[in-house]
Amino acid sequence: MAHLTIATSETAVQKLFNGIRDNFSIDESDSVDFGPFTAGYEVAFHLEGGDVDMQADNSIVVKELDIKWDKLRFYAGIDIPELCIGGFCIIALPFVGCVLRAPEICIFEDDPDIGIDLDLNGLLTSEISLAAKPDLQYVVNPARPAGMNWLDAEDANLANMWKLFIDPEWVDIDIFDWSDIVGDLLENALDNAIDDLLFFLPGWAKDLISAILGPVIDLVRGILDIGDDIDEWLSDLLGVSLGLFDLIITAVADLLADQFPLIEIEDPFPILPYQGSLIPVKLPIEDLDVTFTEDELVITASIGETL
Amino acid sequence: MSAKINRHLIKQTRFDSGSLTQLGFVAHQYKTSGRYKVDVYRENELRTSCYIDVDTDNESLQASIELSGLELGINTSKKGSCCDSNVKIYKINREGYALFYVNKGAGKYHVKSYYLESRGESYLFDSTTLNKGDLFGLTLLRPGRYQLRDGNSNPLSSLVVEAVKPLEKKYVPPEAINVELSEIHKMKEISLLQAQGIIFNAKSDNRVIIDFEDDDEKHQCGDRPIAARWTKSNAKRG
Repeated sequence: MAHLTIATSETAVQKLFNGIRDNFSIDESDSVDFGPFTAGYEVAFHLEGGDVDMQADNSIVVKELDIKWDKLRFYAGIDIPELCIGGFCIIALPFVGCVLRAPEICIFEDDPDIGIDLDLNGLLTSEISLAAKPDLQYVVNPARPAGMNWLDAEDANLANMWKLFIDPEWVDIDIFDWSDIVGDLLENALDNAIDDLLFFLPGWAKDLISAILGPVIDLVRGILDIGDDIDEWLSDLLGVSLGLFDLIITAVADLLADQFPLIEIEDPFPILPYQGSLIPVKLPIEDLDVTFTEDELVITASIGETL
Repeated sequence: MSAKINRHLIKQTRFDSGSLTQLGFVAHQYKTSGRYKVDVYRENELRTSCYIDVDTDNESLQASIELSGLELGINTSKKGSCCDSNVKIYKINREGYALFYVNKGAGKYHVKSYYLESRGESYLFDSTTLNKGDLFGLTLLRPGRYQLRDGNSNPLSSLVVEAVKPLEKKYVPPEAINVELSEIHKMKEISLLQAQGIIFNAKSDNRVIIDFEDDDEKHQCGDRPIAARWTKSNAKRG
């Protein structure tokens, strides 16, 4: 039978969760070579909001945990196919075909490439929801030498800990909305990229190149495989192909599962500190159990016989 | 972002069958089997040589000989060439053509060739004087009006290159135009679209020279070229 029982309300658990949430931030970048183009992202975000809802089945559900983007930059580098002119047939024979062909001369000396760079910060609304179960771990202080007694550990601040993590059962990320201007931003970025690529050419040469590549925007859209739905394309590219969404949910899951505990309880549990020549009073916690109910987080403990 | 443009394509205003630059080519048919030596000149100075083996047994109907690469010792011509380490030997069928062209640099090449076993005789082929069966072709990119002359004689005709505008569909230049130099006096003006090829069939002792004359409003589109540009995104990339 437990010697101690402590119960905290859902509001208290919400505050504990907020503490974990506020410790979380990510700053990452990655890029992938897709052959005809490369794409990458630079992201930084933190979390805000998140309603904790405790369940009768010893779990908690967190909803509306908002991803607040501090940085959301998407970029892509596209190889424009080499543009060559000439190559026409000079002499063709019946049944044989072309027997003499003009040489092809290429307009660019190397494969040209263009880059588009989109600052999507503030244009993506997304949130996380998750369900988690309590995971109680007894963590021996890794810096504590073997055989060190509790009092020396107290003096050296090397006490062991009971740590209550909330171990996610699932974590979802929902992309609610890309701002309406994302499509326009992408089109403008492509326009600017083409313009930058050819800026030094006289108008007639730009027009000719654009006509042969033509139209360049469509060509680039084709290379990037942008369909009619730019939102869906961006979400697929960022989330699936570049793995950004996996990164986010994995980071959140890791954070909760073993980085930031909801509660930490020192073992032995401090009752009274040093008082003059008297040593501190501490209670050994032998067994600890945690249960979520619909209303409370209930912690029960048994006191051990020896420290 | 990078784009190293082949600037010679943009800057050229003269095209000369006897002084080959990029966008132009000369084709000649060697009708007798045997080995021919081709001397390659740039700006009237002998730069390099190659051989052409002509035989009915050779399969290739075309030997594309890129003259700037030949001068630099780079074998950029794959079709019909072999791989002698010192002097290039190209092989073509007796029914085929040797096609001389330039794809790098400012060009100004011409070639002279002779039957190797008859050294001392006059050149069999000199690209500065094209004869019947020889071809000079080119692709004009810059829209505008050009003047067509034979050597330094009076103008033969005018040539107008119409500008194309970017459209919804990809622009594919129309088929090349064939022009018989023997008939050219009947043509007041030759019209082409940008990047459309034109082939001149020589008559006798011809040297086709085409000079860009003007890019009046009718043919010109677009703005004046910008010399340099700074953009925030480029500056960031350093």
